[in-house]
Amino acid sequence: MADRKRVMVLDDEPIVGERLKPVLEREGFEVEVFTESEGALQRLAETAFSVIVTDLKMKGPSGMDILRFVKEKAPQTAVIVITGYATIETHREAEAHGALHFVAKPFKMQDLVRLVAKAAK
Amino acid sequence: MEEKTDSPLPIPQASPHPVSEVAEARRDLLARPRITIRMRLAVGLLLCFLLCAAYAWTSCRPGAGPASADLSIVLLVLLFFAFAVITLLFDRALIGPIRRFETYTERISRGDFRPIGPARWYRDEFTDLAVAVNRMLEELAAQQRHMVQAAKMTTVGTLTSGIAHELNNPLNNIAITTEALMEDFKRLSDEEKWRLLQDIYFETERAGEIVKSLLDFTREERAEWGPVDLREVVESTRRILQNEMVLGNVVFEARFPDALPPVRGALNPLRQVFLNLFVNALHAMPEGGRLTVEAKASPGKVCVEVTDTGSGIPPEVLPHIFDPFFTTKEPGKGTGLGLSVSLSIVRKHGGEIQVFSEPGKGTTFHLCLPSASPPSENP
Repeated sequence: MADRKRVMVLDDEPIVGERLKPVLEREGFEVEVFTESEGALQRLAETAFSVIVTDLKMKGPSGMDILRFVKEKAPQTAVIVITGYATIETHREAEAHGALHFVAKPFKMQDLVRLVAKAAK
Repeated sequence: MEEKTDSPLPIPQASPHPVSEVAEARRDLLARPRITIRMRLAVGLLLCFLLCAAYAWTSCRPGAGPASADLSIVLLVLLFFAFAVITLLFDRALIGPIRRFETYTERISRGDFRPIGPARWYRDEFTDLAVAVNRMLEELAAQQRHMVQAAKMTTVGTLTSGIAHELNNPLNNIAITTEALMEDFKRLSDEEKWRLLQDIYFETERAGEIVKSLLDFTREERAEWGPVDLREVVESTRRILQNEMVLGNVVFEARFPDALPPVRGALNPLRQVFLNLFVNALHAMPEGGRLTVEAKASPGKVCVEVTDTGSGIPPEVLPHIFDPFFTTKEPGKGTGLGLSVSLSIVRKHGGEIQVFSEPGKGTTFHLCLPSASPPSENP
């Protein structure tokens, strides 16, 4: 079980984590779900993840903060940003900070799972 | 704090004022008998002329005796008297109405667009002026209505990021939950299916609520006047901005006393006032902060303080913040109409807004509105 890749899902909408967790687990990932970025940052400080799926706008540290933190600490980690308000500016900013993908809500779960699987390879 | 001296405008009617009111004032003005200043002037001049002619005739008649000298003196006195009376009458006919129109312009500049009614039992040139001013007031009221609506839409326009975010989240929840249900339909237990369906149901309701609260706010309607609970105004406005506040790390706190009398006014315009104040407060706190709303009742009025812990307003800017089209925001972020429209709405309610600001510490808007029911201890 040690070779199971870790995926973090961070979104202040609890339903996103709830739905993604079983689907990603079926794909063979070990999934940790967070709804608050503070807790997610703490966890990121102690553990390495292969892929992080994060919302952009959240209470407290934003998805962009998470992205910067991860890219500084573990640049090989793939970060997929999901957001309810996708603009060209935020897209550019996320890419400039090293986000692998930028996904606008509402998204298809299958598409997202495919992106996660590809990123984990 | 000292209250401004302008007396609250009596507002029994809906505002903006219905067309019928202007038509009624016009009918009332024109129903009076017409005695123009020109007619009065002609009568006065004729009278003086006759007196002069009589004087000339009595004093210049050849062979005039002492009796005719007496008559001349009487005529002179009469002439003097006639001049005095005419002067007095003209003073009343001209200066009185001019002073009256001065008070009208003051009232109008305060944003009270009620038409001018008749002040005398007859009509003259000033009545024509009143009719013309009423026509202008009608136009002003219509333009004001358009400006208020435009400002409202602009304010909402600046919220698009929050609204998109707020709508896309429930939509996304519905989309992925439906997908989960379709993918795993055979595998899921009835209980799990039920839970997923419940999620979809509530998320649909959530999206509907967001659209509804926006529509409620942006709808252009004839404002209905009546008792308005400010607590409800503040709460419904907060709901529109809830997401903006959470994402902007702004803590919202409303302090209302248990028994707050309702104010006399219209719900939607008052919501617009608070939305403007709240949006400005959020813009002043890009790094987050605290937005406090505190209401207090005092005799005959209700006062609300809206305080932010934002950047504050520089003293050189402060005198201009209520000016139309004055803005410090970058293009596209504001039109400079928000506060000027807010002020005109509050004044229409017979209230006042004052602002106190300390750069670097925050800003407080102090707003007072007349309460709907006069205090019982009124003499």
